Amino acid sequence: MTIPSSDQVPRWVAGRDVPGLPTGAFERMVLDAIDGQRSIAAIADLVGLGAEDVAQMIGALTAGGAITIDPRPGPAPRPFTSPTAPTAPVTVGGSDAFDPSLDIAAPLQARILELFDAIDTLDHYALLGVPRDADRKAIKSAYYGFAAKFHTDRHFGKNLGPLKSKMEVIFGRATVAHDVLSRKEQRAEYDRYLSERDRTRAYEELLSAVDEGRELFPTPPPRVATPLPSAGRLPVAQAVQPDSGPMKVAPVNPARITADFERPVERPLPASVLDERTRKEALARRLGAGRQRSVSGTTIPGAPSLTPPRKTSVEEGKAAADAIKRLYEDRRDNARKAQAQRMLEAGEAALAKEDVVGAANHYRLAVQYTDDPAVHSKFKQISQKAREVLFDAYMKQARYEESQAKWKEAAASYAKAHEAHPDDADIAASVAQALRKEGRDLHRAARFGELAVQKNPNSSGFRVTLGAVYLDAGLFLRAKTELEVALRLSPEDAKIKELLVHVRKALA
Amino acid sequence: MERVIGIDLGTTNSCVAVLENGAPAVIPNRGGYKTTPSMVAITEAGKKLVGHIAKRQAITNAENTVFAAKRLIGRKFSSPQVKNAIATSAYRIVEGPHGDVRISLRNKTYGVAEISAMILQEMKVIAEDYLGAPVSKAVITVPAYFNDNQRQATKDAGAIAGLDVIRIINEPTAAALAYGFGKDLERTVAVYDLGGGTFDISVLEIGAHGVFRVIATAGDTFLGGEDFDARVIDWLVEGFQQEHNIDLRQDRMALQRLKDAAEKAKCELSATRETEINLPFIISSGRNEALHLQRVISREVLDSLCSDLVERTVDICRQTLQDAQLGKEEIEDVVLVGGMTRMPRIIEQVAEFFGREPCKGVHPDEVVALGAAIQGAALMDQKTEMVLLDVTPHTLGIMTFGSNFRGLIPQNTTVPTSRSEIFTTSRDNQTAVKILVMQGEHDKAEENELLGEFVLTGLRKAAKGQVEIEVTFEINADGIVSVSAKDMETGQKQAIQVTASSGLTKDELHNMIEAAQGEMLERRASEEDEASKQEAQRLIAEIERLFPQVEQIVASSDFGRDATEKARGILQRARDAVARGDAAGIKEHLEALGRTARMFRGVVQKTS
Repeated sequence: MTIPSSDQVPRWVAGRDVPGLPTGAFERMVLDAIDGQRSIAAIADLVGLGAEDVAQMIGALTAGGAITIDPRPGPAPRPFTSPTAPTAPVTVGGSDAFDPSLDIAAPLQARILELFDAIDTLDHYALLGVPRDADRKAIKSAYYGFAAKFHTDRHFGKNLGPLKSKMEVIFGRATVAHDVLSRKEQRAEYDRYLSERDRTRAYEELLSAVDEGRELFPTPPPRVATPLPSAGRLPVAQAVQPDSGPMKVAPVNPARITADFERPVERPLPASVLDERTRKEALARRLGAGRQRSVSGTTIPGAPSLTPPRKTSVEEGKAAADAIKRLYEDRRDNARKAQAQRMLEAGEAALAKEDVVGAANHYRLAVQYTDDPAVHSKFKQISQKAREVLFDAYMKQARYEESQAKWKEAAASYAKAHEAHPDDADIAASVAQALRKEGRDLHRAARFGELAVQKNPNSSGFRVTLGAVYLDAGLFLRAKTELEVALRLSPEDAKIKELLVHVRKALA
Repeated sequence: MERVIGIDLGTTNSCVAVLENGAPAVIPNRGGYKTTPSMVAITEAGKKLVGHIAKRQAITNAENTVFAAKRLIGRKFSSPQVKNAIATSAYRIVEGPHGDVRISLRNKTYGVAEISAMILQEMKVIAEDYLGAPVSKAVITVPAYFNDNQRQATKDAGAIAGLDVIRIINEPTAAALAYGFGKDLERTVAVYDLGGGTFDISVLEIGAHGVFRVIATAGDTFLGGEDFDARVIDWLVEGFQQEHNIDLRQDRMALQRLKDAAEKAKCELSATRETEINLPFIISSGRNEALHLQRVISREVLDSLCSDLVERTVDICRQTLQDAQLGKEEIEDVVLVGGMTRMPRIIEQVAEFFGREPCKGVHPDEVVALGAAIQGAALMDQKTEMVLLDVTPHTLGIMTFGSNFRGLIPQNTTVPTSRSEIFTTSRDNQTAVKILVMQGEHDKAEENELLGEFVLTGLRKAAKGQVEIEVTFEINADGIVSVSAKDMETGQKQAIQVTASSGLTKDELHNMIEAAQGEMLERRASEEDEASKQEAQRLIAEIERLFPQVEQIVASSDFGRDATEKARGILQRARDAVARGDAAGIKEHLEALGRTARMFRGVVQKTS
């Protein structure tokens, strides 16, 4: 049995019967939660079980054949988003499907629903469909195009049904996006927030890669005598360290870092495109022609067709190939050393600028090229530091989101901070509080509230938080118990008394 | 497709326009004028007069002639602006049953919306006569700085006039639409609109995709041409007082003549350096001796009398640009709207402030109606690629503890929009909260306009500040405001759609609509009667003219004599009906008259 990882998405196999599957109480809950969109982590969250348990269970269920696991989740998972809101691709359908009775074309209906559903996940740039470095003119033009399409006046007197209010919401958001992005200070502030968010996302990806032991940038296996770094690898290094010009540090262009982390995971390695012999021959020709510097990688697939293979005897070819292999390996080792050195320097430079993200990134690349234990231990050290920075960033982000009353986002950020410091009861309580304010998943709020109380049973504040969660959830008895304990801990607290009066009334 | 008319319901003059073959055009009234005075009068006989005929008799019937009703529409009787109007108006302004304003004419009281409706109805008739088809939909303009109550009252006036007001738009915005429509411009424009009663300044951006985006708007609803006139009147009255020791204000008729003369002089001074005001027999002295008023006023005198008024408009412009974080250099063109912008002093001041000569391409009296017609057409026919992104002219919010005002949607926010904020209770064990929805820019709630109120009940009993209530404001593209309040703990929710109050109740409005409809039918009927009467008279005259000739031609035959006898009878009966004013009788005889006339014409033609 293979156990899927938590970011994979199980789905039903059409035509298979459910009764053939084991149907214990837990299994049934899990089965109910499978909708082809939720990842295992999301399902775990929904049913309140651990992700490992769910993975185990789904692994067992797939054996029955009614469930299949997608090889990899469709889009790269966005680590920042709260697991309660699975980031499945926006679907148009269900109850909101195309309504032919409305005076509005089907594609526009679909677009409206799509935008409306995604509105909370789109940043200002994405909503207007402009790049992050778009100038004021481009932003304005995008907004005007948006208005010409989605403003309800463009459909005046038509039957828009429930779409009218949705269009108003969408247009309202586009206006906010335009207004923020066309004011210098507001845009700068928003960009700072976005870059902070991107940074945490990038970090998250980095750290989870390290945690899972996933090789984002695998060293080339020694047997594959690829003479040149393949397209799947080198561009990463190039992107991080351009061949010329000053180092790009993360905060300067956060979008770029994010992209660099995500891309390699998805991109297939072209290693198997050519068989080894063809490759060797191509290499031989190229080295023979003195074109060692043309390490542009991408030219490989095209090379054989550009120059027709030359006829050589077997021995001649073998000797030449061996010589070339040795030459190549020397060269490769040198190149690796140089690369490691460059990465280390870049890492140091980033450290000097207190850019831990950049530093960790470069060190991570550096350890791919060297076995030096000092470098490896430094990498671990920086990774640890990165974790702390990440933690700080999440806390900062959470507080900003809290101040903006974006409870969903705040809950997600606090939850991330909680992952870094699972023993911090304060953070657990903050997660609980934010989830309660969001009001969508009170069970999860209760779990965090309980955790905070468990870590620090003598805090009346934590108990009040938990009590409030129970109260919201309608679990009055539990609320009463928590609040009574809280009152024993702080007998003078008027708020607790008030809440208790309310609870008792509700019970009576 | 049904045509939508655009109406500029002005303080002193109104104008109606329609989009024809893709181009907006002003519709002239029966007198051939493109604008119609916004005046309504009731004659001694109880007849309603609107427009030029009302203006012509204003001097002799000052107490029953309403001008500048727009200054009163949607206002509370207790407001200082209404107090001010009472002091300067010859007609009687009285308090209505809901603290609103009513106007008393010949022992009958009218709502202000009813008076405005008479003007709107006139504009509707002008359009119908021109288009030769009934019109039921209109876009009406209001000063940008009108609050929701004033807008609602204007909408009510439209309803009374039998118009479905599909949208109320702001005058400067309408002017910008007319300025930029179909020209494929991309620029930022300031519209300076100084009309008869109100001043508005709006800054708009005209961009790609036919988008007109209002960036900022501000103004003063009690600053306009009337105030300039008042300064001239004051100057004349004071001079007269010094000379004769008589206060001309005591005599309503004299005051009305002064008003006309002041307005005329002000207009003339836009073209000449000086002009004479000549009002013979303005008043009689105590000793039975008639006194005359005769004075020369120069442009310099007018400028100095009104310099502070002009300065006020410039201050508002300055403030508006500052609020919108716009520099003067970012304004690429300045459009002048409203009759007052013909005054050289104003053109100079505006040019000086913006650092550029104002645009000369638009007609200040017609441009607003043209813009309204454009917006109407764009709404009804979406092939016209144009979309107007308007803003809220005033901050919307609620009253909080200590009668403070807390704004949720700031002024100059593009609509549609929505905003939420969390409030808490202000008293211990408070179980209900009253949400007072207000509009205005003052921190103190009572200084702002109350739009509506509702109560959220069933709150958890708790110490003050413990219960959280989320208040959400929403404005849709039609300008309709919805407010909801939600108890964050219990999820209890209350919401209202704020219907601004025009000062009229639903029943009152309903009755007014019915009455106006009835009157309209009557008016249409009497117009028809008038037309048949004229037709009958024309035919009678023709027959009479041909009679001797026909009689001579057909005298030889019996049949002919018979026919002329019959014709004589028809003629006599028709004449009687006309003389009696018997509309039904006239109609009855029209056909016979027509037949007779045709026969007479035939006889004469054949023999000549």
